[in-house]
Amino acid sequence: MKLTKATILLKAVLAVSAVLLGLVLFGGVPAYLQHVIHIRPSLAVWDYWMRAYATLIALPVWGVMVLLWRAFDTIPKNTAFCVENARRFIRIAQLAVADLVLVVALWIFLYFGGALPAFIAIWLMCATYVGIVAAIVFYVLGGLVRKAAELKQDNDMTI
Amino acid sequence: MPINVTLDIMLAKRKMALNKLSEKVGVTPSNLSILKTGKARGVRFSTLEKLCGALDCQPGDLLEYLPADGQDDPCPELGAEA
Repeated sequence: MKLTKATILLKAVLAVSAVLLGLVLFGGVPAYLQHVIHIRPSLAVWDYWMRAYATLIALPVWGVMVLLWRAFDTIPKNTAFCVENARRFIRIAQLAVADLVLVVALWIFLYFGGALPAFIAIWLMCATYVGIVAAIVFYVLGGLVRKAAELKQDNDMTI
Repeated sequence: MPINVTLDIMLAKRKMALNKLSEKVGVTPSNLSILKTGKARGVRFSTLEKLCGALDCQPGDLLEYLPADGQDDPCPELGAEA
């Protein structure tokens, strides 16, 4: 498969993911919160805060998608191994850590608040795992791309 | 950099323009300019071979070693002979 086609597919996956995240954030989360409030009306006071929290946790994910989109732009131009992409991957790792902190904070809050149903706990566990893996993988990837960029520059400057 | 490329000296000796050399060796003028101005990180043997062929010279005519400040000349006896 040619790089241009592969890049288009990658970008399509990113675009679909961004739309899905939007649907979850602006459709799924409010619907779930309404269901929870219907069962436990005492939790209605948390409705606004939970929506705000969901938006806060989604922002780094959209940030990651923007960075990946820009990184994918460099693939068909044959400039993927560049310092800028290395910086993007390190930034993605930092955003993953930021999201991880938010997830763990919610976990602690719900646990000590006595409002941690099993499926929420499982979701938070998965989100924590994904956050850790993403942070490590993109941190290592950033270092590798930086090294590759240095090698490419050496090769380009070897006449 | 301790290794100095003396391509400009050789071009002057052979009365050849950079563009003409570029056509002969098949290296772009911009890359030759990078080589001439000492910004290159390295030279491939294949390029050195083509340059020597085009300029009718030896590799030593295109490259010279200049010790960094504070370092002793590694070949003092050659310097004394010259």
